[in-house]
Amino acid sequence: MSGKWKINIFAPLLIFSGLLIDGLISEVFSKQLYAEDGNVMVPRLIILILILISFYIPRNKMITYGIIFGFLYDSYYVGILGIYIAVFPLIIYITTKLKQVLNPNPITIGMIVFINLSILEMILYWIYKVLGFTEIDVNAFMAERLGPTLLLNLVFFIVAFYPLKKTIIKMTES
Amino acid sequence: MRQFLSNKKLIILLVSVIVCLGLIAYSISGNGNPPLVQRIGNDITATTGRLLSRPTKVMVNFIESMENLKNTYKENQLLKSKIDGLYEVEVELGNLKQDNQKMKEQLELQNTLSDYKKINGTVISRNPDNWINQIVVDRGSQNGITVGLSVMADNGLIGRVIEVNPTSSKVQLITTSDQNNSRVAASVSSKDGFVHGIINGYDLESNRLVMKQITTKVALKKGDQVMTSGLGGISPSSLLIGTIDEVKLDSHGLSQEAYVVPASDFDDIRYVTFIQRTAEGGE
Repeated sequence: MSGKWKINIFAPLLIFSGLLIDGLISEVFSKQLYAEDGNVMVPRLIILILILISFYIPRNKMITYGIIFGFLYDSYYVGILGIYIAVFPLIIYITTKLKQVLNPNPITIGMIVFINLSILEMILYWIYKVLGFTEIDVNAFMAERLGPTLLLNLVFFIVAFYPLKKTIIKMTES
Repeated sequence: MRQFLSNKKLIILLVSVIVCLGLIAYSISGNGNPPLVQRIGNDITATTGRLLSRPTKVMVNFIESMENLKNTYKENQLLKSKIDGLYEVEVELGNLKQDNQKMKEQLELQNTLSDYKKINGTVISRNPDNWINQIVVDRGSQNGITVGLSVMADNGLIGRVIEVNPTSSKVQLITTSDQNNSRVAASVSSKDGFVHGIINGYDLESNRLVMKQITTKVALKKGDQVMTSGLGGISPSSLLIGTIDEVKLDSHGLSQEAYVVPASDFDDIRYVTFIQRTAEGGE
């Protein structure tokens, strides 16, 4: 019982810090992330954290977290509700479906992160295109946004995977 | 039909899609003052964000000052040579200011378009997904921020306030390709007098702002300074936006288009200044 109590407090805190650190990274390193010849790298630590945690927490609870933090992300960063609030639960759903068929080792988890990020960026591109916030075409989007973003998050994944996994396991066990 | 309705997953999907589209429509038509739940959520997040961003900022500033030390000698020489000219300009400026004050008194002008109040703020975070270029600043309605205020960074205009919470606010940069919010009434002071136009759009490839609807009767040249004209109803006049880099006819050939190199760096914004004009707005 006490172990559950621990992860129930720890998981939202971790997701929340992921959300804040994303914003902080993009503020401090905006020159490196956004200025280089039109290429845009989007830090998505929160997605990495959501995917990793959903290996240890039951699905329905994770989807609730997804909705809550999607709302927060929308309201705090974007100002338009209804974008991330839909995408975060979708990612958690896809992850739990993939989890059932794939054997969880670092490489497959990395693949899950990749698949989810690609889906997320595609949906976001489509939504913002419909809403009229961007005019770039699909090819430019793939080359200038999707590729660099995946690369950056691959680096994040390599750096943060083991420490994150260790802490999450620690919190679920004791 | 019954079988369709009994499919629970499909129903949930349908309902959530409808709810999300409704939420998008609702928040797009909003006026920048979000409902209470959102305001509370934003402010809690902003407060925690401030706790994180302050130590980071101290560190970044420290590293930067170390880097600056390297160039100090060269800069010092350059500044010394410039400072001699500055004294003359200062005296002239003082005279002009006095003249201006007297003339205003004679004309009984209360507030001209170029008078404004300043409120300083620190940037807490930036929208990571960069589709809509937004930054969150640690000043809100308690500090007197209202929707629509112009925002300056170190050198020039960078955007306007689009959402206000009690202790934080959201600023949309003029680099966003949003037809509704990113227009700025601008003017260029050339030798034929003031030329007006509208800053509308941002060229991603060359990182320049596009100024549209300039009359073809005047010839603008590279290096002319672009300022806000104050005729948009919200921003005061003579805030620097940038310098003209290239002028050409627009696609219809009816008016000129100027490409403007922005005066402030949109990718390195840490401290901002909110500009509140003292003259009553028309809007």
